[in-house]
Amino acid sequence: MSTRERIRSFIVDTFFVDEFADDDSFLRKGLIDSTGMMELVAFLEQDFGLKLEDRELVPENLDSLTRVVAFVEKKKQQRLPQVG
Amino acid sequence: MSPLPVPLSRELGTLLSRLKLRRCRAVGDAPTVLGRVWIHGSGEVRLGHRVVLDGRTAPIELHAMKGGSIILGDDVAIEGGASLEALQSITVGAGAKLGAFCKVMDNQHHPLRGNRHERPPSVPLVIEDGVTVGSRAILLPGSHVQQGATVAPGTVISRRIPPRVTVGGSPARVLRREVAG
Amino acid sequence: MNPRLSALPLSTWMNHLQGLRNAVEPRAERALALARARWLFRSVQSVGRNVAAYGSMSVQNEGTIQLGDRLTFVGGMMPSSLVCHPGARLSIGSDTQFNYGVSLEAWESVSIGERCMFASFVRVGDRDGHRTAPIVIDEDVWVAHGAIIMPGVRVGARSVVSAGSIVTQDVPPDSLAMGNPARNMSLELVARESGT
Repeated sequence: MSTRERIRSFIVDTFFVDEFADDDSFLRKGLIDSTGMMELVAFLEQDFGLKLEDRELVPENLDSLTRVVAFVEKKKQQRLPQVG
Repeated sequence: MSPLPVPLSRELGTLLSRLKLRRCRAVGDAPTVLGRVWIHGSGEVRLGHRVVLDGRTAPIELHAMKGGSIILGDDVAIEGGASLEALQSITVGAGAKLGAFCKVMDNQHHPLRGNRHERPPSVPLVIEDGVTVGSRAILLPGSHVQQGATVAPGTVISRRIPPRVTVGGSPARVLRREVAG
Repeated sequence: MNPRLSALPLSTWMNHLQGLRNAVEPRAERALALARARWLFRSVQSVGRNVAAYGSMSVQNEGTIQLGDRLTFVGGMMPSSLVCHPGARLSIGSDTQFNYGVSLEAWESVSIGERCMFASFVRVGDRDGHRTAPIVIDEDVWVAHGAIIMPGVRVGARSVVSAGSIVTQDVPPDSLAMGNPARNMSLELVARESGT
């Protein structure tokens, strides 16, 4: 499963939202509330083995599926050189 | 041994309980009220049959504000210090147990940003049949704890919890999933 | 008896009485709350104007407590408590509101800004057994039900500490702290400007 599909299925399963577009704002469409956002962050850390800093928890990184995917990809890239 | 014959003292207990519940819109058969129960607000509070409210350690607060309703099903048991605040609706299913000092509210009372004195919209809160809510757990607006689920003590919840699971922690995670049956 | 007055139906009289009661009761409660606050805070070095306590409280002052203007302490099932140990400092800014069961304890320094809101059963204490470190809460902070602020924490202006959180690290301004241990996220991520 691609990153996008994994995150999408987590959001659909956890928050019981029906179809939503990749660019829909979670906040403005009311898809995820504040506790839900915390759960999304916990999911990203657990499932992708990332460590998100508190200062990264801003709308630019997390407010739509497109942004979350881009953010996760960026974090993965950052992590790779350290591992290798 | 009670100095009164058992049936008589039981009658008396029920009578006393009913007196403490006089502000409820409806009270079912044989309510048991120990200690203090505060029922305030101009909304409606309805209790099912054989409800047990044990407010001996600290008062139980049932606060239904104007236009709000708190509905407790049959055989609901609530421990001391529990506080239910409804601006719209809180429903507790049959046989549910609410632990000491738990907080159940269907409105956050203040917005996160902007003018703190504006009241955000309420979201109805449902606790289904056979649910156990641990002590000091906090159920925020939008919580919907489904049949037979268990909320561990101190957990904070604000959304749907599937049937027969145990959730705990903050933010809440599913700790255990019981096999249906 | 004046025949015109007695001609009014009883229900009208009852409505008048109820109206009178609704008008008088809040003022009487307010006056009582102001008087109660004056009595409760008699050991406090500096108390602002119009500080009101609507329920019982426990106040233990062996250090220096400074209270701003127009503070409100709401009563409820548990009394709030203010404890300031010898040599410690506890200060609360103006227009801050406290619900019932709030516990504030200063061993070194606890400082709370203006226009903050503290919900029921919030605990703020600058010592937790092995370490003591000052706590600073800036202005317009909302600490929700049952949250605990640990020693050494600074909560930035306009931030929100969500219900049941345990805050162990600093919260930047305009953030939402949530969880145990609490993590901070930008309020812009989870709330629109007006309302949630």
